[in-house]
Amino acid sequence: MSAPSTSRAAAGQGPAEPVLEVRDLSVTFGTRRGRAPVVVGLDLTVGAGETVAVVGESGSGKSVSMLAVVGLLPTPPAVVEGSVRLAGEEVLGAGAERLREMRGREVGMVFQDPMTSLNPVLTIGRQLTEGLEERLGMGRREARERAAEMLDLVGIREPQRRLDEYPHQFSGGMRQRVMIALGLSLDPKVLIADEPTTALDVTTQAQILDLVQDLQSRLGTAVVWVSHDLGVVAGIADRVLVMYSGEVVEEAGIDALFAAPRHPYTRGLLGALPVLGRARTELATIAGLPPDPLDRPPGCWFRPRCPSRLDDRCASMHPPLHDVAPGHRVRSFYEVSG
Amino acid sequence: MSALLVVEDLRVHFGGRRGTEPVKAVDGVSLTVERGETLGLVGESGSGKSTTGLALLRLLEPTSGSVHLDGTDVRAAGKRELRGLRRRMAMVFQDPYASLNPRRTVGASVAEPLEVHGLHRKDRGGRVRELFSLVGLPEGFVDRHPHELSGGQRQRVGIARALAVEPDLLVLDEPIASLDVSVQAQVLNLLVRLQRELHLTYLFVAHDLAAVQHVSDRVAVMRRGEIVEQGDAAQVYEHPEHPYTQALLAAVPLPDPAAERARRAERRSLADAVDLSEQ
Repeated sequence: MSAPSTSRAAAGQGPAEPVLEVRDLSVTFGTRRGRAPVVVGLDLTVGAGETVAVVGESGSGKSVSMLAVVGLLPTPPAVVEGSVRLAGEEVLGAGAERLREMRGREVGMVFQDPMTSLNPVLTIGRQLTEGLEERLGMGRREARERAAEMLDLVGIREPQRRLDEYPHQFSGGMRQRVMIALGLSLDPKVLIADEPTTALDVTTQAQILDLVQDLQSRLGTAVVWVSHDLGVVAGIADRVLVMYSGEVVEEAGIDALFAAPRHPYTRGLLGALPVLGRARTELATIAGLPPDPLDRPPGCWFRPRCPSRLDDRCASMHPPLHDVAPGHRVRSFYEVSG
Repeated sequence: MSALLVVEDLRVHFGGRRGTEPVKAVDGVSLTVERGETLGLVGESGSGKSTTGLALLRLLEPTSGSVHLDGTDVRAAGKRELRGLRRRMAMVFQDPYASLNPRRTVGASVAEPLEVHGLHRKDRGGRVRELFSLVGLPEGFVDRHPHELSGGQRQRVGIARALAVEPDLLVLDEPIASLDVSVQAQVLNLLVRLQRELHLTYLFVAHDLAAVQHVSDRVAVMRRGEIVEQGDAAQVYEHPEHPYTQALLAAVPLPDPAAERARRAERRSLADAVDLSEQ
């Protein structure tokens, strides 16, 4: 295990037990054409209070792996292997009842589209108090007080009045605030946020990013932030995992990843991003498309798109994820630099 | 340079009968697009930027105001004239999956405007293949269906279809919004190349300020149906005058951790200055 040396939260503390520890996680889906490995050997360690970003494009396996982590992938059709430990307790193989208990209490979740995660026929208040009453054993009045506090915490004005409103009475940004309140309401040790700002306007996105950071420093919750956008995670993450075709191709502290990305895919992603203030330059592109999980090339899976691909090893051997610096791991035979 | 598109005091209102207040989706928009340039029209959801694009082509009837394309009054145009105008301005939509017929081959979808306008009667297939190679698609793709293509490839089909009639003006409505980052860059580069090669004029409608800056000569910032700021792209981006433009720019994430951490404080003070609140 690499020490989270770049974590602001962990700085100055001894190595605490990770709140989330994923080892060799693999997810395979049975399809008409055969078994498709969509997540392959994922390792992820999240320390208390840490923010880890999981970045990848569509089909990289980032969202599927998070659904597996919280036990929300239907099996079958999915086959999930490996180990997922939440606060030391194994998730994979846990019973449905125990999983329900762990969700909310140990791990909170926020998804991209709050409209599909909120129940349209229940008031916001009911959706918040339900867990507080059933899971924390609060009385009705206490739960309502706590729910109002949660809304206030996520920056919703007049929380008492808004508890009695329905999801459709909230704008997209406000609904996402409600989702964050729900995700944090049972005080989980880790919050998994899957593209929570992707559907939002840029000013609303900035507010949500700031909000999650504030809450995190106040409550000490660890956050796993899943995003396709490296720009979004730059300001909030301590550490980043870059996924490509179902596996991690690079993992580094946030500053190292942006200052000195080593994997050609990470470099490609950064070069492809239009950056404010850098007008009218030709954007770097990554030629081609990610491989079909049922038909990955031999050797390195990025090789067909790689601008480096220098020798026979790339075509015949699958590169291992190896350390190139403390806390910095890369899955490539060639570490681009400079 | 001369103006290709001149829009004056354009309004698109919805509803408002029986004494209810109309929704003023576009409320007094004036803008000019010079021949060969790109005007970026940026705004958040509900700002009216997409409605403006649709109203220019009369895919949505404006309530009032005037639109002139190369001197021709678009709003006064009758059916026949409008068909002629739609050879000179075409639209590329955000979601190529929704704008392509799933049952037709993508080659047939690109040929459709040629049929409608009676163009290239002798060798339509040849023209379609030419358009495919122009947008960087293998000619063999003409026989495929939309679901057999990736998002980026589908958007290339959408661009080929818009270019089929050899328009002067392309209205691009969020052309890269539903694409992955690496594919967005491919499509942006393609658009820049096509503009150079075909001397096209673009109205680039988008919410992504960095992408808009990347392609635009001038920009107009929309909010609540109105343009709050308009000018030379470099000027607007480097010295935004309207507080809303400033707040928008401050909210765009930068792929630079140190800079991004530093900007959080700046963002807060601007958010306090402009009312960005919502219900």
